[in-house]
Amino acid sequence: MRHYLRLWWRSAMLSLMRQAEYRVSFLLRVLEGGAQLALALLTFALIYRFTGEIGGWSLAQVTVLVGVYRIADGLIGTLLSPNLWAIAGYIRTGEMDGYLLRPVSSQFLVSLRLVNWAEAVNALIGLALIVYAGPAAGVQWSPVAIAEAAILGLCGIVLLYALWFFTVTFSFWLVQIDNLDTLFTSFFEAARYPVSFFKGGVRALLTFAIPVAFATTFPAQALLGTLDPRYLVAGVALAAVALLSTHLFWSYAVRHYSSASS
Amino acid sequence: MSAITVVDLAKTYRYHHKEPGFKGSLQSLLRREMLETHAVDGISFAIEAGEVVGFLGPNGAGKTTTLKLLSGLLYPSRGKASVLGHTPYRREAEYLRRIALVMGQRAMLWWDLPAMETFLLHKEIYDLPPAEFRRSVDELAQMLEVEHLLRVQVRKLSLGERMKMELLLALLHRPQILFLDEPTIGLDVVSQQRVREFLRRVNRERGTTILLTSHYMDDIQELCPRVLVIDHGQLRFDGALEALVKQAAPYKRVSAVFAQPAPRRALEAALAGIPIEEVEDSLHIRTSVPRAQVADVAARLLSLGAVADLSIEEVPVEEIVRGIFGASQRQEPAR
Amino acid sequence: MKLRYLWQMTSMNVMSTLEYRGAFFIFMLNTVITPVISLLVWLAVSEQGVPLPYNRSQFVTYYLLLSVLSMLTGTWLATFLAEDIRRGGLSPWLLRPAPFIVHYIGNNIGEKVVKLPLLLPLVGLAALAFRRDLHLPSDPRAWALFALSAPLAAAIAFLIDVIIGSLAFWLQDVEGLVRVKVLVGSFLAGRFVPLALFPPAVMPFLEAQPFRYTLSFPLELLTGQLSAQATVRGLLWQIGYCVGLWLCYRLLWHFGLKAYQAPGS
Repeated sequence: MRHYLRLWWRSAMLSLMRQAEYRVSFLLRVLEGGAQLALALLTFALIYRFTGEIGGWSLAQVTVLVGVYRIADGLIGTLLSPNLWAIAGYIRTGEMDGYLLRPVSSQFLVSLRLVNWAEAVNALIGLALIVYAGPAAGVQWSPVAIAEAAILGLCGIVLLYALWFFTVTFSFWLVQIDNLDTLFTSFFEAARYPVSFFKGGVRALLTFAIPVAFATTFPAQALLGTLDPRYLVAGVALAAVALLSTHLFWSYAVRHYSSASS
Repeated sequence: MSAITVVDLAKTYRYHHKEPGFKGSLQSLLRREMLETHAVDGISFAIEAGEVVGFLGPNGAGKTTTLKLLSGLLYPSRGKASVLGHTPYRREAEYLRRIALVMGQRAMLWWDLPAMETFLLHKEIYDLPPAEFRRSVDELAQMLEVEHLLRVQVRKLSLGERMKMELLLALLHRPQILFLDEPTIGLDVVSQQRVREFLRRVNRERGTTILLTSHYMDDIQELCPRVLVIDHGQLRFDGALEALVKQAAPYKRVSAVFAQPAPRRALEAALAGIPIEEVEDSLHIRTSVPRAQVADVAARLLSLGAVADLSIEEVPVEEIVRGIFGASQRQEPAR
Repeated sequence: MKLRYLWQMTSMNVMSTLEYRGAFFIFMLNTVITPVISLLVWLAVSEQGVPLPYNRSQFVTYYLLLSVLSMLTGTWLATFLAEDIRRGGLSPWLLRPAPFIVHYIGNNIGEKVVKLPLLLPLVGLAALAFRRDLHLPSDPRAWALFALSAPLAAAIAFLIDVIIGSLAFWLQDVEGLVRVKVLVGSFLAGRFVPLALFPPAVMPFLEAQPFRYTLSFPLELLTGQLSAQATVRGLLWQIGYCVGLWLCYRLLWHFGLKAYQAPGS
């Protein structure tokens, strides 16, 4: 709905204005992102010293994946991270009350109100990396490939958001275990690698249970032209179901909060 | 139909007591003893549109809980509340557009940015047409005398100015009902005055119904023609403040200053059995006299002669409240 | 007297950490997941059938031991120390008869006491999953050397953090430095890629830099890849770093305390 879009944009602008006040922090975050990228590439350079191909992926192709990871990580960091880390705090301090009494969806407010533009810059750097490594990896810049990659990437981010948000919603009940979502950061590490590096149970885990594959491997494959198209359909379906589930669970949690809190 | 109707509203919290340590955790897993607090225990009242009502009561009495029940943050355990024809806890968008809640302790403004930016954000949240928004901001900023501060970063404002901005924010979308929880807490005397003047004006000019809880008797006294006293979750009094004063403190404070010390015997006779509360250097006396007898006692005191000054005052409301609740009033935020 | 103080500090930290054992269990899960991911990647590489400096068994042993050792040598004090210095939290300690550092040592050890029993079952599970390839070293000398080197590694890691945090005596914002240290330090400690797999050209540098001695060196000792010469050389480097970093810390604090303005309330 256009109302929500306008609201999000205004929120995003407020975040940008605030970040402009803290330029050093902004710069540091971008530099750190760059350093992380450099180290990731260095790690792969070290790994590929011994072999030209791993699990069907060449160094150039895996570099494209690193770029896709950078974009996914950047988008999550831009739109979701600043918000989801803060939710447990809202509940603890009572700030959540303010979000429940607005005539707009509280899930929308707590999930998207803050935007970290430094991570957006990091995402752009990821894009630059893909463009750079593209030719050697065999990337086809066809509209179809780009669309598929974008859709799958979006599905992946939505799925990760759903999983993360689901865990965060538990904050309404759990008080002392407020760091369940750090598990996601750990599992998301696996997204740096093509899912084909992993076998059997782990691969299934990373595709469907903690769907990092949708966020990085499949979009990269879309660009490289090696994607199994069934994943496109699966991705959209899973993402839709996941999103709906978060809404249902959130509504339930809020109802519980309203009857139990003082 | 009243703007707010509350019938037998109650809110009960159930909790269990946990012994410390591992043994305690095991125990609470197997056998839990559930205890109950009745934060609000069956209150009923009705408030008409345009009224300004104060909720008075000691800490933990249930004032804030009542406010939360009426605004829709909490589900009642029992009873019904109807606000503007809506059931608050449903939190329908239509309902939320017509109310506003300001909690004195919690700021909604973005700290590092000018207040105007947060106003613009709320414009989007409440989907206000640009012209109406502009008018609202100008009008309210003028009333609060903060026009020159709209573009100043919130962190650079004084506490009083910040509170004004919070109020401005709350009234941007022209709510019909304003819920205020401790709105003047922590403010200096001048700011408190300004806030009260502003609220009176808003009520007068816009007909906004205002419900507020406060520790400061001055807030209640200066703003609220009607007072609801809540203690231990129950409604003890519902009416005008003067009536409360009369009911809870059916006496007045009489003070007399003598030019020459009056003989003890004569004084006691004049007071006819009413104890003297305070005697300072035998020239100043003070006592509390039942209202019905004030005129007589005053006359008799005057007739003692050499009275330099005689004053008859209402007992300070603070004392009345202290008397009702039997505890001292402290400047503490309500729950 | 200081030892008793340290004991008291440590036991208090143990108790307060126990309060949050749920959250710490999650931290331990994270401590195991990251090396396991790296391990799976290297196993995938070895599937390619190409010659590698480590065989499957060595990879498994390396990464599983890494998860335990990285917890044991872990430090997190830099930002807290910096904040204490900048916000004046240091002041009350300056008036107490024990050095400020005891507070941080107690916290470090106290937390680890609680973390270890939370971590071991998880590592045990991982060991079960990889039991086919897991060959724990049987040479008691290797374990003895490890037992000697591991605490030194923890001390070096601790001192590096103390030094970075101490820069707060002069620097406004130490946060950036901390993040650089975490990134670069982890990499150079062999957390993601075992140092033995780096190109030979950089080996001399890698063997000399301090981060090797916070994690990689004890592991190298245990998995028995080092010659007697390399072992002695490494141990000397490690002891040297301990002493050197400790001197550095003392020097920094000598000057830092002079510059300290005891701010705040």
